Order: sequence, then C-alpha cells, then structure tokens
Amino acid sequence: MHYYLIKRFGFLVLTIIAASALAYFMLHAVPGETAENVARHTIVGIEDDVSELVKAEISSKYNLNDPIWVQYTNWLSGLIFHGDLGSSYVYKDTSVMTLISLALGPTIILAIASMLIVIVVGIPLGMYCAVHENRPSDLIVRGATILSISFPSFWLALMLILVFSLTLDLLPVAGYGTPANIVLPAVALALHPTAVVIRIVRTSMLETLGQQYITFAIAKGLSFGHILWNHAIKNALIPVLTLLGVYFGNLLAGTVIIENIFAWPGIGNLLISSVDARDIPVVTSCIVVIVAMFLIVNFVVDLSYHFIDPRIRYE
Amino acid sequence: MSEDVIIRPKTRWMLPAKTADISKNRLYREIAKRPGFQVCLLLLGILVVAAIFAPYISPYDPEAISVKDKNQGISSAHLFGTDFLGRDLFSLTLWGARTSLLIASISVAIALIFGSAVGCVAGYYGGVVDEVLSRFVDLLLAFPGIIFALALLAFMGAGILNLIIAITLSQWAIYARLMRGQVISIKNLEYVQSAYTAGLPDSRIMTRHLFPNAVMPVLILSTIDIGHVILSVAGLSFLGLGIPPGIPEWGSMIGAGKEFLRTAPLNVIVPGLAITFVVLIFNYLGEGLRDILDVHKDQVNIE
Repeated sequence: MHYYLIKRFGFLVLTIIAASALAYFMLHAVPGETAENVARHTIVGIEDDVSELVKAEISSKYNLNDPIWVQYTNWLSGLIFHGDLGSSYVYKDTSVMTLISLALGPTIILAIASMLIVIVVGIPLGMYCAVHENRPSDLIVRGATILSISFPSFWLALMLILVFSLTLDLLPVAGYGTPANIVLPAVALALHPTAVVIRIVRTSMLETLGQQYITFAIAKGLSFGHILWNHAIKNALIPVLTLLGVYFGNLLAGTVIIENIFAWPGIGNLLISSVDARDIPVVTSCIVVIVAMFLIVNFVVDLSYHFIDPRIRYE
Repeated sequence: MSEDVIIRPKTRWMLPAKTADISKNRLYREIAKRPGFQVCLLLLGILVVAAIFAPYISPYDPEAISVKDKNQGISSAHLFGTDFLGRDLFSLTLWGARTSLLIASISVAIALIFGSAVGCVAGYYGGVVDEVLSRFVDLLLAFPGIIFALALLAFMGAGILNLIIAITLSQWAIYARLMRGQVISIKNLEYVQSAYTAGLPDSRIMTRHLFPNAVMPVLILSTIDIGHVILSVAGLSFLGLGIPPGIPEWGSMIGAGKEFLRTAPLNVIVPGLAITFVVLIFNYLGEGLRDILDVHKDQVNIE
C-alpha cells in the first residue's frame, strides 16, 4: 500500500511536470513574435512596426533570447523552489501566481457546486431508473439523458440566461459574488456529467441487484428499501466514483467556456483572456493548473476505492 | 487472498477483454429489428446529402448581407428567420452542417487511423515500446477535454486546418489506448500465434490479423466521438479559436449571435438546435451500435 502510494504520487508529479513541459514548449515555439505581441499589448500607441529596440528591451526583460529549454528550466525551478510562475506580459509587474490564486477560488467553488448537482440529482435518478427498469418513467429519464449529452453546454447556458434572466428575470445574467450568481453556470456545467452519471448508476445498480447476495437478502425477508440503501448502494457506486473523477476533468474543461459566458472570474476566464492577449506565461500556467487539478482529483479518487470497498487492494 | 478485487488504476479505462465479433448478416438482422436506429441512419443520410448539396439547396447565399431584413422571425420567405446582418439562417445552418461534418469526420478519421496504428504497435510489441508509447498517451490524456486543443490553437491561431490538427492531436490518444487493450486481449489467441509461427512478418500480422479483429470497438467509439468532436469544434469556434470569421459554422454563429440574445434569440437558438440534432443522431447511432455489437455498456463512453 505504501509502496503503491509513493509510486502513484511520483507518477502524478512527473505527469504534471511533463504536461507543463509540453504546454510550455508548444506555446513558446513561436520565436521573435512573442516580443512583438507583448509590445502591442502593453505599450499604448504602437501602430504598425514595433521597433527593434523595443523588441530587444522586452526580450531581455523576459529573457526571451535564451533557448527555450533554458527558459523552461528557469520557469520550472522557479515554480518548484520559489512557488513562482513568472510574471505576466500584459498585466505589468503582476506575478502569474497572484493572478492564478485569485482565479482559483471561483473555479473551485463553481466546480464543487456543479459536482454537488451531479451527485444530488444523478445518483437518486439513476437508482430510480434501475428500480423502475423499462417502465415508462425509466424510458423517459433515459431519453432525457441522451438528449442532454447532445446539448452543447455553452448553448444551454445561453438558453438558461434567455429563460431565467432575460424572460423571467429570476436570476442575474452574469457576474460573481452572490449565491444567485452561481445557479445558472453550475446548472449549465452539471448537465452533461449528470446525464452520464444517471446512466452509469442505472447500469451499475441493475448489475448489483442481479447478484446472489441481493437475492439472498430478499429471501431473508428484508425490505427492498433496506436492501437498496444498505446492501446494494455501496457496491453499485464504485464505478460511479471512477467516473466522477474522469468527469471532473471535463467539468474543468467546461468551465473555460461557461466562465466566459457568465463573466465568472475563474481560471477559464483568465485562460481565454490571456489567449486573446497572447500572454503566454499566464496561458501556460492556467493549463498546468487545470491539468494538475484534474490529476490530483483522480489520484484522490483512486485512493478512496479502498475506503469504500475494503476488498479492493493495491498492487 | 484470491477473492480480493485488485484494481490497477492505469488500466481502468480500457475495454474488457471481450472483443466485438459480428458477421455482416447478423449486423443487418440486428439493424432490421431496430426502427429507431434505421430512422437515425436515414436522418444522417439526409443530413450528409443536404450538407454536400448545400450550394444547390440553400435558398439564399449564406454570405448575402441585407441589413434591412435583419433579425426577422420565422416566415415562409425565411424558414428559420434571419440573423443580425439579415442573412438567411436556414442557408447559414445548412452551410454550417458542411463545415461541422467535414471537420469532425476528417479529424476523427485521422485520429482513428493514427491512434489505432500506435495502439496496435504498442500492444503487439509490448515491453519498452509499449511503455514509452503508453506513457505518452497517458500524458496526453492528462489534459482534460478541449484544453489540449485549446492550447494548440492558442499558439497556432484559428483556421480550419489548424482546428483539424488540434482536434486530431487531442483525440488520437483515446484510440491508441483502446486499440492497445484490444490487441493485447487477442494477441495470444491461436490464429495470431500460428500466423507468427508460420513466419509472417510483424507488419502483416498486425495489418491482416490483429487490426481487423480488434477494430470494432474502436469504430464504435469513433461514432460517438464524432458527436463529441462536433461539440468541441462548436465550443472552440464559440470562443473564437476555431473557425475564422466568414465561414458559416454553428459555434461561431452562436458566439456572434449571443450579443442579440435579448432582441433576436433566433440567432442563437437555431444553430444550437442544429448542433443538438446532429450530435443526438451520432449519440443514438453509437448507442445502438454498442447494443448490437454487445460491447460492454457504458465503458466505451469514458474518455
């Protein structure tokens, strides 16, 4: 178990570093242009040609003349030894770390709110479908799930705004701060994963209910509700747990678009505005943070199997 | 401790060992039993034909701007109304189908071919080759959803070719992982062993024996994946990272129309319904194929 833990953790760290290298090299592969882009976005009044002098000044300020791998090693060692992600090209004198730490909170809040919706709606509905297998209600819910995984989530977000904000005037269009602000983005983000969780819970529950120990419990005369909630649910939820980990990643990726629509001040919004401004250090760091969050959640999910089902051991 | 369930997390996304095995006749018989599946196939056929012949079918030039007709509702002249520049939304949507289907099918096809080739090599050779390729695949799959494509587009810039490259590069790893699992599950079967014993070269064993017998679940995945890719393309274009302006595409239509959500919601509703309709068809077809081929339910779907 300890050996497994250490091995998994080491692999986690290595993957994050490799992902950061991939993102870093990819985004820095455009030589020369970087200095010009920075100049265009930071110096007011620059029209057509950015003078060589300005370019050289910016290049030396951000060490853009070093080979990419030197830049990357400096960046990585800064991250590891000083917790420093470099400085933004566009927001002058602001460290990327500050920008990221400001944006991280809103994203985590949004992700947790959506995950709550997924769990609170998805698991009971999935169980309901399993218990009512092939009855009309089951067919209706299943039909609804396949429809929901076909909606583009950003379009659904706009439709929610149209109905609940613009027409009914119940919820704010966009913004951050009050509890009412979180409802629409969380719902829009939760739609796909909820639909998938309903399907998985249903399949997994049906499989569990077909097991012999359930038949035995029924034969013993236990009430069906008791069997469902005490005997079946734990075993049925193990595949769901894996899925929640995987879908947390999709949720993080989804926040990029949803945050943009709702002007939610999270990592996704920061990423998109930095992509527009070609602010490469911020873009790289946002991507690394998203990848790291995804991997860490899945790492925790992997470890939690043992606590849900003590029979599960790790090699 | 033989009853202990041992989970090896790194293999949990792979398919079960069972390979889908089906003859053409059985496939036809199964499809004949499913009217919903047939309807979807028919709708897909109509859609593809409509997309191909969009220049001849569409009642208006999708680029024809006519400001005096802007933001009209549904009428007999404009079936879906007009957009904020007075362009006919029906024609735009039809041309948008061309863009979406073309990009999605090309990138899925390239990802499928490249990914399954890599997966086949990794699964067949095993050892160091497998270790290196699998670690790389793991690394790519650590980028959730559209993030990798987004990062690529951020540095390459918007454009149809760049979009296809970005989507392909971010999708192939899933196929590689799936194919690798399939190949490993069949490579010790007798017919593969006898092919090896008979002295066939590796390339021939892979192309003639392993690939055809392992490819079925990968093909099913690709059906569902086309739906996902259409959604991703629309999402990236919505953000302004995918299709450059000037080419009709559903995601960028929604992105441009969202400014007029209050006054002219048709700008957003129509392309969104188009995306939903097409993705629904692909999801339903993928679902039906999984049922018919009896690949373990809901396992392929996990990305």
